[in-house]
Amino acid sequence: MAQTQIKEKLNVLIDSLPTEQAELVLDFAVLLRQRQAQAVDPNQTAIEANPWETALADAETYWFQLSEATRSQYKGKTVAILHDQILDSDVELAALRERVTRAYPDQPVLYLPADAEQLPPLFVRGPRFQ
Amino acid sequence: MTIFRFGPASGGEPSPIVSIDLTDEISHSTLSNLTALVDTGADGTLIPLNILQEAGFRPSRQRRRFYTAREDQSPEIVIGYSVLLRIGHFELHDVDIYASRSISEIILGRDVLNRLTFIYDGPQSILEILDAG
Repeated sequence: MAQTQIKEKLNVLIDSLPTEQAELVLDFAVLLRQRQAQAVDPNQTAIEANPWETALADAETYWFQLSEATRSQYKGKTVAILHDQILDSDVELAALRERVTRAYPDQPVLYLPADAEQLPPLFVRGPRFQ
Repeated sequence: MTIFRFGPASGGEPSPIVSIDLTDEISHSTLSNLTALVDTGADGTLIPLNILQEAGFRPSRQRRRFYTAREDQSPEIVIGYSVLLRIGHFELHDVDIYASRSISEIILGRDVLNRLTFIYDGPQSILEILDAG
């Protein structure tokens, strides 16, 4: 079925539903979109990566490959990761960055909230594009 | 208090724009007098990748998957930078901004807007920033 036909059928369907039930259809569509989003390859790099960016991506991959139990030890903190090593952690990002920068100057260190999900979505409803 | 006058019209209506300065928390590189579109429909703050790269900014934050309302646009993985953002005489530390190659202008999203108190005065075409937290 073509996308336009689906939209027409959805419009007819939604018009026949009470508002609350129509909102459920909308919620379900949002859920489907989120699932589709999660299916995108997390290692996809749409930007031409330089060595610094590659190192950060590798550090991120390392973190999310750790066990849940290991990551939960840092709950509530930001962790500083260089390659496959957790350098330090702190609840205060600025304090953490100061210590790490002093000990590892000019290194591609990733600062990541321990509770973060992998590749969280960032939605922009109406930008203008190139 | 800082006042910004609306900018060029889009779709026949003036757009709320502000001038911002950015300082990278890692390299301490700085960009000044950047024009940013105030966009309450944006979850986060985005900037064209080339602007940050040419200024020597260094990413240090998590990547995110960037979606738009356009059906023909695939999600883009954008890279995070930690910056000090100045707007008028207000300073916001540890703001995460994201570098995208698919946008043509800077978008100031709700991550920043939700830290500001401002008046959107449409009839006067001004945006007045009262406070920042």
